[in-house]
Amino acid sequence: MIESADSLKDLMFTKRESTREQLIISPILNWKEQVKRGSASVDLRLSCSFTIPKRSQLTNFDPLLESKYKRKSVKAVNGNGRKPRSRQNDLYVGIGDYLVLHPRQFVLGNTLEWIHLPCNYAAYVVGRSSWGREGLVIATATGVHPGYSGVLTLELTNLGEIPLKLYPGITIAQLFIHKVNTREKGVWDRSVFLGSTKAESGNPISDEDFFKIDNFKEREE
Amino acid sequence: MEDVLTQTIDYARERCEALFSEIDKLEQKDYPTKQSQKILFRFIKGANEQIRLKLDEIEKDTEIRQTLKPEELEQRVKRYCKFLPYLCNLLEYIEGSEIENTPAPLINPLRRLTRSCLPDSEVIFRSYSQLNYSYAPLTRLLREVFSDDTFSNLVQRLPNFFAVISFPKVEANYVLLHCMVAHEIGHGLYQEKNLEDDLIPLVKIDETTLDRLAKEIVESESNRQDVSGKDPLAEADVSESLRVKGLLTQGITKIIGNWVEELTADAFGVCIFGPSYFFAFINFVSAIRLLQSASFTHPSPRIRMNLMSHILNLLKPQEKDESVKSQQKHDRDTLGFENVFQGPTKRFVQKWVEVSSMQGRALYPIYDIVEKSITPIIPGICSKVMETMNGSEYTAQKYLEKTPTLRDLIVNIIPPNEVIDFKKKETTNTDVVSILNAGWEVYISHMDDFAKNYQELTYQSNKLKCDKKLNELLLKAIELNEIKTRWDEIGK
Repeated sequence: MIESADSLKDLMFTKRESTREQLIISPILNWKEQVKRGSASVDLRLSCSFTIPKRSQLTNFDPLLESKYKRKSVKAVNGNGRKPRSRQNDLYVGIGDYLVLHPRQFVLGNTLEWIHLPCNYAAYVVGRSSWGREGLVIATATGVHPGYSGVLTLELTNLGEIPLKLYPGITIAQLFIHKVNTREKGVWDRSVFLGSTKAESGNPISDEDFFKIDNFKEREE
Repeated sequence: MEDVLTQTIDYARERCEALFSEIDKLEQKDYPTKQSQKILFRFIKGANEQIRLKLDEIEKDTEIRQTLKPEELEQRVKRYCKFLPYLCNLLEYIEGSEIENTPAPLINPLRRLTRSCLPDSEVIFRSYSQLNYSYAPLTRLLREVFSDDTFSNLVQRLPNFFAVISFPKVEANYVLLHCMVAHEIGHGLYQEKNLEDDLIPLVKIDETTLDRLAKEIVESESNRQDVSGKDPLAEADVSESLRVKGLLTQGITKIIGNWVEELTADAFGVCIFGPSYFFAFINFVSAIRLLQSASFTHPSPRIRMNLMSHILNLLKPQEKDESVKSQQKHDRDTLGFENVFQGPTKRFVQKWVEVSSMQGRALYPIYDIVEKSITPIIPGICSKVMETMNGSEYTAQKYLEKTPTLRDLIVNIIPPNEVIDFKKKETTNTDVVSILNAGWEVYISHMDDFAKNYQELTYQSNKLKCDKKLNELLLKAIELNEIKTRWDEIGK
C-alpha cells in the first residue's frame, strides 16, 4: 500500500526506537509544495552534482575489464595493468546556475534530498509529468530498497527535440513510498550505493557473476 | 639604444597581452563564490591596463624620449613593468579557487562563517600544492606592493578586509581537516582588531636566560678565535656581550611578534570551531612536524596545543546565557570542555593534553627564551580572545546540546544537516561548526559503529574507505545545511 503525503509526514515526525528505523527525507525546502495534501508522493529536487560521460575519450564501457581491475587481475586483460580510464567527469553546478541537457544527451544527476528508508519501507522514484512532457526522462532504475540511505541517482536523458536548461533546486521527481511485508527484522539494503552523496556509476556485474562469466569465456578459448 | 627601448616596450606589451588572455580564460571558469574573485579580477585587469597605458605614453611622448637619457628611459619602463610578475602571481589565487579545485559545497559556508566573525570581509578560499594552510591579507599586501601613484585608484577600491585563505589541494575532500581554516580566520581577527598592540606589551623577555645565552655565544666565539690564534677576546668582554644581547633581543622581539600572532590565531580557532579545531590540528600537525620543533614564524605544536587545551576549558556558557541563569554556579563551572568529553574522546584529549604539557627543550636556545617569555601570557591571550569573541564562541554547552543527536545521525549514515523536533513536528537546521564537531566525535570514538552500519565493515581493515565516506557525508551535510539556510534567508 502506498503511503499518502499526510501519512508520510506522520511517519517522518513519529519518533522510532532507533534512528535507523526513522523515515528521513532531508532537507524539505518547501513542505507545502513538496508534500502536497491529497497526493501520494513527495516531490524531490535536483541537486548540484552531475556526472557526464567522457564520450570523446572512451571507446566503450567494459564491465568485465572494470571487474578484473577491481580484482587486480587486469594484466590478464589489457597486459599493462593500468587502471581503466575513468568514464565520466564530475560537474558541480551551484544553485542559481544551470546545466543544458541537449537532445539525446545522457547525464547522471541526483536528488537534493537525502533519503533514509526504514527496513520495512521501499520506494519508487518517477519523473514529474510536466518535465516528461518536455522530453525529460529522469530515471530508469527506479526502485529504492528498504533501509537505503543516500541521495537518489537520476539518469537524466533528454528525449525531446530542444535543449533543456536544468536548474539545481527545481522539483524534478516524485517519490512514492510503500510498506514492505517482511519476516526478517533489521535487515536492510547494503548495496554499494549505500551512503551515496552524489551521482555515482557502478558496475552492473556482481563479483560472483563475474567469476563465472569470465571462466566460461576462458574455457571457450 | 632607441631600438632597444622600442623593443623593450614591445616585449612588455606582449607580457601584458598574455596576462589579458589568461584573465579571459580564467573568467570563463566557474567559482563557488564569484564576488571575491571579481574583486581580484578587477584589480589585476585594471593594473595591467594601467601598465599598458603607461607604456603607450612613453612610446608616444617624443619629448620625454628626447630629454631623458637611455638608462632613465629604461628605468621609466621598468617602473611599471616590474609589477607584471606580481600580477601573474595573483592569478594563482584565482586559479586555485576554481570549482574543480575546491570542495565547492564547503566554500560558501566558510565564507558565511568568516563574515560572521569579520563583517563585510571578502575571502578567496583556494587550494594549492603545499601541504599547509595559510593566510594572506590581500588588501594590505596589495597596498604595500602597488604603492605607485599609477595604481592609487585601484588600491583604494579594494575592500578593507580582503584575504586569501589557502588549503592543501591533496586534502581538498578531507572536510574534517579543514577545521584548520579557523586558525587562518584567527589571523584575520588578530590583524583587523589590532591585538598586537594589546598583547605584545604583555611579553617580558626572560632576561636571565637571555644573558646566559649572550655570554655563552661570546665565550664560544672567544674560544673559537683562541684556537685559530687570531685576535683573542678578553675573558669578559662586556661590550661584545652587550652587542650580542642586542642582536638577540632584536631577533627575539621579531619571533615573539610572530608567535603571539600564531597563538592568538589558535585561540580564535578554538573559540570559533570548538574542539574540532584542536582535533584537526593534532591530526594534521602531528603527522608532519615534531611536537617540539619551533621556527622563526611558528611556536612548537606542543606550546600551541597547550594553549588550545587552556582555552577549551574556558569555553563555558556565559552568565548572560538564559539557559544557564537558573543553574547553580557550580553547574556552570563544570561545563568546560574538560568535563564534557566521554569515553575514547576523553581519553584522546587527556593523552594529547598530557603530551602538550610535558617540558621539553627547543632545538635552538633562542626559541627556549621566546617560549619562556611567552608562556606566562598564555592566559592573557586567551582572555583577550574571549573578550573579542564577545559571547559568540562555541561553548561546551553547545557541544553537549547538539553533538549526541548529530553523532547518532552520522553513525547511521545520515548527514547531520538538520535535526527533527518530534514534539513540534518540524526540522531545525544545524550549523557547520556543530556538524564538524560531531564529525570529529564520530571519527575519534565511533568509527566501528559507523563502519558496521556502512556495508557491515570492520573499521580497522577498511579504514580509508570508511574515513572517505565519513568526510563525504559531512560535506553533504554542510552543503544541504547551506542550501536550506540560504533558501530560508531568501524567503524572508
